Amino acid sequence: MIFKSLKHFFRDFAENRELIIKLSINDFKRTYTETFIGAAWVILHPLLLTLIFMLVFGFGFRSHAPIGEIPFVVWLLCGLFSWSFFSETTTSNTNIFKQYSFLLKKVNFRLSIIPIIKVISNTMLHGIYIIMLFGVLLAYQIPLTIYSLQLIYYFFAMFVLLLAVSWLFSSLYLILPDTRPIVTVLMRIGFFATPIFWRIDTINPSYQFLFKLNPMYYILQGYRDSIIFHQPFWHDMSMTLYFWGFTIVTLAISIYVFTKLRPQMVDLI
Amino acid sequence: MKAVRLINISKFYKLYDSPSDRIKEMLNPFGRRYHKEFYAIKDINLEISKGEKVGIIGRNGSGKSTLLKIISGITIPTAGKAEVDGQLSTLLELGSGFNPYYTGYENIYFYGLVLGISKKEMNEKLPSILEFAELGEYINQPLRTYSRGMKSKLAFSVAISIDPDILILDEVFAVGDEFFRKKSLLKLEELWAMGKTIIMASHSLNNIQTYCDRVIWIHKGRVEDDAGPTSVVERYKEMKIRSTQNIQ
Repeated sequence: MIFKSLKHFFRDFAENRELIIKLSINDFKRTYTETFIGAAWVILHPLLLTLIFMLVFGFGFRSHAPIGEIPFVVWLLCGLFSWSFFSETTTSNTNIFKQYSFLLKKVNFRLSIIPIIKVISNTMLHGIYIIMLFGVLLAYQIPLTIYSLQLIYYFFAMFVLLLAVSWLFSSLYLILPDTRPIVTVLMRIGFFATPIFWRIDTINPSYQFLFKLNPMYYILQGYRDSIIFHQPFWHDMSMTLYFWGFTIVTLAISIYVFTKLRPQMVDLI
Repeated sequence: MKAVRLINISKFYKLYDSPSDRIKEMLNPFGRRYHKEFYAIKDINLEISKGEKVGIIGRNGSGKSTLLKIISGITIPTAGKAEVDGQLSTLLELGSGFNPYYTGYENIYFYGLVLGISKKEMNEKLPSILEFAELGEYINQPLRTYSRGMKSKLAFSVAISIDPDILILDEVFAVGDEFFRKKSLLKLEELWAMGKTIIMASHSLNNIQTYCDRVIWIHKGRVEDDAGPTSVVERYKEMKIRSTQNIQ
């Protein structure tokens, strides 16, 4: 049954890909260009945030030791930008059906493609953050290498994980409104439990595995491996297998829940 | 040729006393039921041929809107099968499918996008939509600032502009001023003449009698009567008189 619905899901995407792209661009425009100076904020906000982090952690607090020869702020931003993309997308996708209720209640529309719209829309913003990160690398004269290409792989991995949790939380939210605060708390815990500001090797080695169970650990480590440590993604095969195992199981659960609830979803929105 | 075919369609809603009951029911290992079933539609079989003008009448809560939503594919029936052949355009209530925060102009394009109409095609349709909707400068204002009448004007103009094979209308003439109503009815007559399938629910028996060649009376989720307009409307009126006498 899972495989059949999986096939169904991906056929929906293939058939609707043009619509998905257009709706995502529309969503992006609506979310980020509503203000007076409009589109400028899309660039300005990431730019200011990056500059603030460079000021605070690059020139301000010198207490944070550099990671090898790499300034702390570069290491930090690799983790922070990927985590923010994940947590913001998950949080905003939780009530995504309510946001699009004006549409879903009046027009016959494929519900399954709604969460993907937000993921793609936020991807555009993530892209701008990655460009900022490249700017920081340039400022510190850290060269990009062939390993940087792996960012594409790790991004893809995060994308699939995001789809899985988005479908799960957005459909659960319809029957259980408590999902929203639960997701908010989870993301808050995740912010501290994921090695964004701290290094995993500061933890007692016998407890490290606990933190590695978090699938976002793999992504953060991957972003850093690609840009800073120049490690290929197959150097730690067990982590790679664990991540994909986790993601596929989550995807299967979320598709099961979604398919199960689909007949009554519109009535619940 | 059939435009719409409904086979044994039922729709029931599970009513829970509190939202937590829904969770309890899902998690209950013994399959204990916490809900009451409410049938909005029960065992409806219906065939509508291409080009037919069907009116749907019935009291509030009789299942008219649910039936229209099932035909449009918005709501999924609990049991049975709905087959629809042709491009649908649905106009349910006010401001169908419109986002209150988009301007009228943006909503037109967004609606087109959702229905898979290209921007180029929409550009071609735009002048006639704007002209028909008579919103003037308001087209650049967000929809939340519109009055009810303005919203329905825009919705109606967009719905007819996409050139549907099947047009579904739910009580669209209850709002809008006299002039716009007249204009819309003329437009509908035009669509009538073009041989489009039209399914409309309305409380205005006059409109139903004038514009439909078949009337379906829905009562408590079932088809009470399905025949030519005069006989159904007469029977419906009789029932109305009888029930008012009961009250007196």
